[in-house]
Amino acid sequence: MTTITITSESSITVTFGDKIDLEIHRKVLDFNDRLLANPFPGLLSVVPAYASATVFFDPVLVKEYWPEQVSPVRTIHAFLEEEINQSPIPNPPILNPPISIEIPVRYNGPDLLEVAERLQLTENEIVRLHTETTYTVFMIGFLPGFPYLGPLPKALELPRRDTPRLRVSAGSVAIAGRQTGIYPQTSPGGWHLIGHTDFPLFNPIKNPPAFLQSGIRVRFVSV
Amino acid sequence: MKIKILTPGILTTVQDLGRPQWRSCGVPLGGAVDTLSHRLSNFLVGNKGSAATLEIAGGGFLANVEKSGWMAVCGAGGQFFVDKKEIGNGRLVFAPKGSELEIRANPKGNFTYLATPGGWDVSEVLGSRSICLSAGFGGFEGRGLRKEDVLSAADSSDNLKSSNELREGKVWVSKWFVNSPTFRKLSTFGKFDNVIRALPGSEFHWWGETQQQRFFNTPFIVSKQRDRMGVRLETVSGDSTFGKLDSMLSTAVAPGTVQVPPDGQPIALLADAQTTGGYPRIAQVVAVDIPRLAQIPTGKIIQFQQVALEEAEELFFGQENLLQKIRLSLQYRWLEKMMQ
Repeated sequence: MTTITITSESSITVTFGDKIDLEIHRKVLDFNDRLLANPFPGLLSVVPAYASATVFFDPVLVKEYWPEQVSPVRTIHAFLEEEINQSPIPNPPILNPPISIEIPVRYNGPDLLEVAERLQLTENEIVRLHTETTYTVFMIGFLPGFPYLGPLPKALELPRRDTPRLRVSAGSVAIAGRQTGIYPQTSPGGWHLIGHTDFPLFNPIKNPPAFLQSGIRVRFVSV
Repeated sequence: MKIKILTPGILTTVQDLGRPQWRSCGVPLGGAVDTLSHRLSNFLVGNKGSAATLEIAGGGFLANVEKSGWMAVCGAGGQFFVDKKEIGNGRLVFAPKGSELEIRANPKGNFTYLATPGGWDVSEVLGSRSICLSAGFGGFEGRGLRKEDVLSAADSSDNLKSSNELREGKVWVSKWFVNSPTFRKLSTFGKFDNVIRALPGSEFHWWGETQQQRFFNTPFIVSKQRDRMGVRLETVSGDSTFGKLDSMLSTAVAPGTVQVPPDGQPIALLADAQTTGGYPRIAQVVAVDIPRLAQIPTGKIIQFQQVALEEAEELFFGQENLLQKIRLSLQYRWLEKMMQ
C-alpha cells in the first residue's frame, strides 16, 4: 500500500511499506530512479530509506514553474500521485542494475568478544556469519556516507548497546538489530563494533561523495 | 575586505544556504541556522542571499581589519562593535584598515552573521561554502575559525576599490537599517516571540487525542542541550508523557522536524541535523519559524501553535515576497553608495 504524506512546505514522503524487506526497497529505488531520470522543476533531492523515499523541493522554483497553482506542495503531491499511479509496470526495468562490492574487514572490534558471548557463538562463527551474507544498502544516513546494510542474519541480531559510546572511530564495522553498517567518520555511536575497515566510504571532492549508494550489494571479506 | 581573527568565540563558522542536493548521501543540509538573518546581512552588502557569511555563536568574537571594506551584521545573538563603539545590527558599515571588529553576546539570541561583498572567499565543496562539522569539510579548511585565521571578501571589483579608497581611515555607518520594526515584522509576522507555529508531524496520529492537544498547549523549556544539529525541549513539569512510543523505520528528516525519543522530551532539528531518523515525529515547525526557533535563548519558554498547511505556505510566501522587496531596496542603496 503506497501512501503519499506531506511532511513540510518543501517535502513529501512516499511510503511503500512498513518493514525491512527487499521487495519494498526495490519499489523505493524504482521510484527514486524514475524521479531522478525525469525530475520536475524545483526538485532538490530524493532520499531513499528502508520503505520510503522523501522528495525535497524548492517551493519558490515550483511556484515559478506552476504560477497558476496556489500551493506548491499540493502541486507536487498531485504530480507524484500521477507518477505513482502511472507505473504498475509488470516487470519494471531496472535502471541501475545492482552493483556488488567487496569490503575487506579486520574482525578485531572491541565488542567482538562480548557479542560472541551474548549470542553464544564463537568469534569465528560471528566472522563466518557476517561474511557469508550478501547485504543490500537500504539507506545512507546518520553520518555523511554511513550505509545501513541488511538484512543481517538472525543469529547475529542484538539490540543496540544500552549506553552509546561517545567516540566510535572512523572505519568501525558494526551491527545492531537486523542491520550492519560502517562509520565513515569518528562520531558517537550505539552499535556493537565487531571490526574495522580502511575502505573509503566518503570523499567530499568526489561526485557522488558517498561511495555506497542505496541499492548496492555488499559482501564483507575477512582479512 | 580582509580580516584576521583575534578570538573566534565559542564557534565561528563560514555558512551559506547549505547543500540541499546531497541529502541522499547522508550529507546534512547545513548552512546558516538562522537563514533569515544570514540573508538580510547579505542583502545589506549587495549580495545574493546565498553568499557565504560568518556565523558567530554567542559572543567573544574579535577580529582585526587587515584590508578596509564593507560589511553588515545581522542576528539576535550578538551586539556589533567597531573600535569599542556600538554600531547596531542590520546596518551597512565601512571599517578601515586597522580597526577592530567585535561581537559581544546578546542574551536575546544565539547567532550573529557577518557579511561582506561577494561573500567570504573559501572554496566551494559539494556546491556550498558551508562547513560540514560532522565530516570536517567545507567552510574554512573544514573547521571552525581559530585565532590567526585570515579571511578575505570574494568581491574586489573596481567600484569597491575606489569607494574604499575614498573612505580610508574612517568608520562609516548607514542611517538605514533592517532591524525592528521591519525585521520584527519579517521574523514574527505578528506573533509573540515565544510562539512557534508547527504542522502536525507525520506520526502525530500515534499519540492519543489528549496528548496531541497537550503538545500544542504545553510550555516547553529550551534546554541547554543544543547545538547546530538541534534543540532539546523539556516540559516545564519535567514529566515525560510524550514518550514510550515504538521507534519506527528510519526515514528522511529535515530542519524543523520535532521528533520524540523514548525519554519523551522532544528534539527540534536544525540545519546540521542528520538526514535520517527513526523517532516518531510529532510536529514540523513551519519554515518561517525555524530561524526564530534557532535564536530562542536557552532557558526560555516556548509554546507550539498548530497551523494548517495553507497558513504555513502563506507565511512562507509572505516572507519571501517581503524579503525580495527588502533585497531590491537594499541593493539600490548599496549601488547608490558605491557610485558616490
